[in-house]
Amino acid sequence: MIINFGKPLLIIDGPNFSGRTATLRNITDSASTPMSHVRARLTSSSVYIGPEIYNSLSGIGLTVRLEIQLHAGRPLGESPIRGLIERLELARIYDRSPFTLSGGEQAMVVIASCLALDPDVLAIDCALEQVDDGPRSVLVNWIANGRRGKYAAIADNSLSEWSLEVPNVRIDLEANTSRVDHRCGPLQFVDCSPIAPRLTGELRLDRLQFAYCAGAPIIRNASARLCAGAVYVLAGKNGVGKTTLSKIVSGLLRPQVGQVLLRGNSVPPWDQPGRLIGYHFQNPDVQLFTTRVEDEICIGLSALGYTTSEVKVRRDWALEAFGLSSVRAEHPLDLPFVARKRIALASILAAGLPWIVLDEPTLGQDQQSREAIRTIISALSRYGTGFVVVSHSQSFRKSLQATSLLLQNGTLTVADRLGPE
Amino acid sequence: MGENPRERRQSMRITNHDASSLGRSGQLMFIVPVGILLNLSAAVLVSSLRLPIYLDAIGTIAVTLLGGLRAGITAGVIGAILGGVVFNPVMTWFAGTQAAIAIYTHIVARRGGLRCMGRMLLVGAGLGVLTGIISAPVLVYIFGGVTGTGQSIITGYLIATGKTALKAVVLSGVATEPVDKILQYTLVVWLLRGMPQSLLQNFRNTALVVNGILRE
Repeated sequence: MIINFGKPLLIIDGPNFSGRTATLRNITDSASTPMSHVRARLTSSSVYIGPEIYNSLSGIGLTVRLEIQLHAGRPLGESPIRGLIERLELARIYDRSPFTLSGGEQAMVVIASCLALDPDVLAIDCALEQVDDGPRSVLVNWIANGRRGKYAAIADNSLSEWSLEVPNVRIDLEANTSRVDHRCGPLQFVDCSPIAPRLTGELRLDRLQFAYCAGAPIIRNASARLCAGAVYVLAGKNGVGKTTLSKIVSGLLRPQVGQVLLRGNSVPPWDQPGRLIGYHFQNPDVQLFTTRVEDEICIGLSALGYTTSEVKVRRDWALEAFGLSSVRAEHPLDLPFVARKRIALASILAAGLPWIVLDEPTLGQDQQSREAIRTIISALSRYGTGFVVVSHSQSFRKSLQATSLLLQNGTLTVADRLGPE
Repeated sequence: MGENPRERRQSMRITNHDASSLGRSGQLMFIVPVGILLNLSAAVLVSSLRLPIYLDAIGTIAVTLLGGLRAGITAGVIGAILGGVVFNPVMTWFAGTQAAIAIYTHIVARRGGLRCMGRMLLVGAGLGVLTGIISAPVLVYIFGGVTGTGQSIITGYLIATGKTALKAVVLSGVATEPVDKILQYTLVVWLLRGMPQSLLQNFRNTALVVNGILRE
């Protein structure tokens, strides 16, 4: 297969499992091994950035400044990307560790530092999905116009939402290619009655305040009353604390002030994280635990006290709805990002909890899969499950017809209902 | 595509690569330090709990299975020397034992000795007897038979009942080591079976395939 780079930017479009990653990996000339990006960094002729952005951090840059300097090989003031850094406003996070950044900020830092390497070819595989619209168009413009004689290839699931103003060549890949190893079935809507919640109720966030150790409070005063069976979209800029608030709500972090009340009970979720309010991690690898896809779905269910037959029913629902039947005996970490994200999502949806917080459930998922996720969410919400969803996909947010919770400067405001336009 | 020369320059040939991009030495560069750390952390854990086992060769065994004989010996010997410097000076003297463990593991693993639990019991017991005998002279002539590990409890008892130091050390070693080594093989094989195939494929080692850890 010969790909023609007639213009500096190549856009690769196609559904999941159409071979986008294989194509990008081949373009950057790096074999599909977990360690390949290390070699690519060393030679710096071509760089591949995958959807697992946290894997693309060098790991030795203690701060963002060092991470970028390390790649640029010179002080930031003299680096060719200083204009880009200014426009992305990265200066405000210069002294933070790249590992404490939010997903979107991490993506910006990784892409900026890879641009600092000035590679001949840069491939970005669904790594821009968590970046806000503004910085994303800055990045895409820079990639397309800011580098003379260099090329870039981008694959993304939200391409239809982008207003691409830069010249580009486009390839559309077919859904069925033989080059994909681990193919999952399509994500589809399956009747949700087997996974209906056992308990439903209103959720109240009461004057939450939270600061990471020795930092300024990131959540200052967040209060909201969330009705059972409703879907809420948590919106806000990159790095404003959406993930932090999600983790507080689901009990993974403990607020310094305030409480989370389910059905009016002051049963703090942090006393039993995951038992009352489920949390779907942005990074599925944090959630994955076992060595088989099937076990991964069952382990949480058994821990929640379901009987063997209930576990089986819920597991079968998850495998069918998320198209995982064909890979049920595989190791989750052998599967591509899109499948890992689905496994993590399936296992949390099947748990039948009264409230579920979904952090970027659509990462890596194509349009058809997003539509299926949306129908599953609305079907479950009719059974009384409440949802708090964080997503950067505009079309997905709109299609949810959810109430918007806007997080700004650490406070939460309940905005109007988002409907289809 | 690519009719005129300018366009041809902008085209790239897409090929499939199956060779690992890092190469053999690159992988070993990653796996050997991991093995050393596994050895040391197990040693620290076991000795602070004063258990009559060692577990300080799990890294050596894992690296031998993943990266082959040379990597295994490197991890074992460097781990022993480093452990002697930072943790317990006794460890350095058992560098030879670590090398012997790597060689033995390499030989038995190539013949499928870790394929099932039954074989693992036999192979582990064999290694236990071997290391018990190899370690005994070091224990006796350098430390007088007592190193402060859990095994020393049994050695002390045997000496108290009237055995010579060398006899007591060999006996206590042969009594405790097989259990320890069977446990170590079981732990390592369990660890490797839990690793994703895509990661194991980086180490195209026959030992992994023969023992059914890496599917082909």
